[in-house]
This record gives sequence, C-alpha cells and structure tokens, in this order.
Amino acid sequence: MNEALTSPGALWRATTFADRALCAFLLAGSLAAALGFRAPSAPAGRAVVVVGRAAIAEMQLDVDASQTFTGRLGPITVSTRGGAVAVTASTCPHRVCVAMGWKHRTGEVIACVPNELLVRVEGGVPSDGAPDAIAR
Amino acid sequence: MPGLRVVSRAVPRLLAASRSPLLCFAILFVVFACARPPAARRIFTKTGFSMGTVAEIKIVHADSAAANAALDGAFAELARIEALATIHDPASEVSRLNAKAGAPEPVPVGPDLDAILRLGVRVARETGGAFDPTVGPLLRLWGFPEDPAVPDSAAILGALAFVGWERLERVSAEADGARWRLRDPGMSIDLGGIACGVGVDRAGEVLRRVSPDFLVNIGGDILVGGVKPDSSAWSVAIQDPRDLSRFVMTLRLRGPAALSTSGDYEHFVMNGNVREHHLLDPKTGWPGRDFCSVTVIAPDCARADVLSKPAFLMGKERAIDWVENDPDLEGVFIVENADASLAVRETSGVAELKHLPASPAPAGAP
Repeated sequence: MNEALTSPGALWRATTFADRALCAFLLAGSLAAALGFRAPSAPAGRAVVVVGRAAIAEMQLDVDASQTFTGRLGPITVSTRGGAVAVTASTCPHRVCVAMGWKHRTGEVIACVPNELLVRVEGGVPSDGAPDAIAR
Repeated sequence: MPGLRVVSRAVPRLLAASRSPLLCFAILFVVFACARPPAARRIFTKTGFSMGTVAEIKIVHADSAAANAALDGAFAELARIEALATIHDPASEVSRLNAKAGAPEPVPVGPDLDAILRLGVRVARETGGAFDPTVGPLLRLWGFPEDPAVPDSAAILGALAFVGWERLERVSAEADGARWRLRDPGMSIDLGGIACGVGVDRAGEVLRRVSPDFLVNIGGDILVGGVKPDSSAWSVAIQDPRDLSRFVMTLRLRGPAALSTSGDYEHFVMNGNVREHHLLDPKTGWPGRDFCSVTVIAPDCARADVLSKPAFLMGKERAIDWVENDPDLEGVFIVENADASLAVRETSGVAELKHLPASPAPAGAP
C-alpha cells in the first residue's frame, strides 16, 4: 500500500480533481443503486382462494368481508377481518378447516380437503418464527 | 442509452487523468461488487392438492424460472404416482390388480407399483401384519375416508376374511416391473398408507436435480433436502392432535430427512364418546386405541409414511421400543390420558432434533 495514502490529507493531495470527481460519481451511483434495491413498502396482505387447481378469488385481509364459494361438497364461507382470514362455515364432515382458525402470516394455508378448497395468505405479516411445515 | 454512453466515455478519461488508478480500480471493484450482487437464493413455494390432500413444495433457488419449473415437475411426479396407485380410478395399475383378485393369471405392473408393493409386503412381514396393504375391504366397509360409519362386528369379521398380505404374491419379475396377484376373490389393495410417502420421495428426486435444498409436504408426509437459504435447518412442527391451532413440538431437520404422522383426528366418526378413526388394525378390523398421534422420522418418506401406521397400531410399549431399536428411526408418540390431557413420549434421538441450532455451528466448535 502506498504510504502517502494512509492519512486523509495525504489521500487528498495524492488525488487529482478527476479522482475526486470519479469517487463522488461512483459513491452517488452506488447510493442510488442501494436505494434502488430497497423493496417497496409491503402491500396489504391478501388471501388467495383456490378451488381444485384454479385460483378463483383474492380477498384483502384489511377489509372485513365474507364470500361463499362452491366446493366439491357444497358451499364454504371464507371471511377476512382485522388483517386475517378464516374459513367460517363449511359443509365438510368434520370442519377441520373451520377449526384451523384465523391466519394472517405470509404463506399460511387453510385447506378444506373434502371441498378441495385452499386459502393461502400472501403479502401479509412476515412468517418469522412460523414452522416451514406441519406434520399432521 | 445516452447515460451509458456518457459513463463509458467519462470513466476512461477520469482513469487516465488520475494519479492513482489503483485506487480507482479498487473503488470500481467495490462498487460493482455491491451494486450487482449475484441473484440471492430464496424459497419458492407451490401449494395445491395432490394424493387427495394438501401439497406444499418449497425449493431454494436463485432463479425463479428454474425453481418454478422444478416445482411443476415435482407436482407432475406426484400426479404420476397417484395415477398408478389410486383405487378411485378403475384404470389405475392398482385397480387393475384389484379387479383380477382371485384370477389365476398374475397382473403385470410397472416398476413404480412393483417397488411400492414390495415395500408394503416387506413392512407387513417385519411388523407381523400390523401394516397390511390388503386392508382395502376393511376401509371400504368403514367408508373411510369419504363417508365413514361404524359397521357391526359381524361385518368386520366378514371383511377380515379378505385381508391378508400373505395372499398378495409377487409371481415373477419382468424386465420392466413384475407380475403380482391377489390370491382370493374379494381381496383388494389400498395403498393409502404407503403411496404418499413414495410420491414425496419421487418428488424430492425431481427437485434434487435442480437444487439440494427443498421441502415436500403432502398432507403431513414431509421430506426435507439440505437447508434453507440462510443455511439454517428446516423447522417442522408436529400438530397437537386435539387443538389444531397448536403444536406439541417443533423439530429442526437437515436433509435428507423425512417424517410422517399418523393421527386419529382427521378422518374419524364418533361412536358415542369413542373416536373411530381410519387407522384400522388389520388383525381386529377396529381402529387402534393406544395413541392419538404417532410421528416417525426416517431418512426417506416412504419408510416414514409406511412405518407410522404399524407404530400406531402395535401397542404402546412395543411401538416405542421398535422405533427406538432401529438406528435409522426416531419417533414421537402422543397418548390421550383419561382426563383428556396429552402425554408425549419420544425416542432418545428426538431431543437432539428439537435442540439442533437454527444455524450451523461455527467451524471448530465442540
């Protein structure tokens, strides 16, 4: 390493105006690049409702609403309230889907297997700490 | 692009005018290294229905197109295994075998069904029939999983006459598969306790060609490969069998590792105060009473899946000893006490899985 560059004053004397302009340009560029990589603010969470293989509806979690869909066995109601989603009524035999309660974390899924209906949370509260899978 | 042209002209001029080009190159290196990092590896997920249950597959990759193609391929592989092993399609390989029950001529099956049947028969033999792939007549009598109802004892005894893995024969090996037969008319194979685990393993093989790091979860039959993008272990929670919003424990698994849970809480019918569930003892025809949930952890999901059934059915002490004595297996056993509280018992290696650090230990750590 050049000894003349070890102190700020020496560095200043050792560089030309062009060096300093280049540094300023590069720093400004890298700052802009860094800002550009920032993720935009997270959108409001939503629940994607899938029946069979097709996504048939999206419901905003921050809007209080209920929608009834037609599953394989009959009607099944999905509700959103206070940033969360739940299956609140179902025609399936054991209502396991209703018992799964309210979900609000990204990636959480409520499934009604008999009705082949699936509700998946997207863009909601980050799933920090949630397990990657549940053995049931 | 005018901006790029300006930069491409300005940078060489500035470098030429500089008294310290080394410094400029160093700064350029740092800036470009920071501004254009390699694409980060992250988790891509696909969720849907497969094997009659919910399927969720995750893969760690930097490229979304490659990851999504792998996820699609894994789901396609699951569909392929389901198509040959389902009893709901009369054209499936297993349905064709069932349809020929009692016929003298054996039925040719492909290599995949051959492998599934061989595993099923092997486990049936090893467990003294606590697992039995010919349990189809019993499941049909009970109506599981679609429309369960409690049959009378005479009907159960009648169905048991058609259950018996010893009468499922691999008559000959073929160049591409084998020939099997069910010796007696009325017998039928149900692969619900085994095909899902095999499908999970096959889906894992598809994913492994693209990334060593993945997770396949088909209705609780789980296979993990490698680790997560931050090199931490995959976390897998075991469902509380009586409160579906809670877990009894969370395990941290580094692949390859698999686990499967058999429980009494998803497919059942109440008989007064008794929960009659789908895990039927092939010897008695009635549901197992010792546990409400059994999880088996194994190196592959086929074994985890198939072994969780006999572990559920072979009795408390024998089941725990049986899993404990197999160096490849671990188990978590949940019993419902008379006061409705739950007691959790586990094999000796489970404690280590619960306490595995989220990140790898530093080099040289004890």
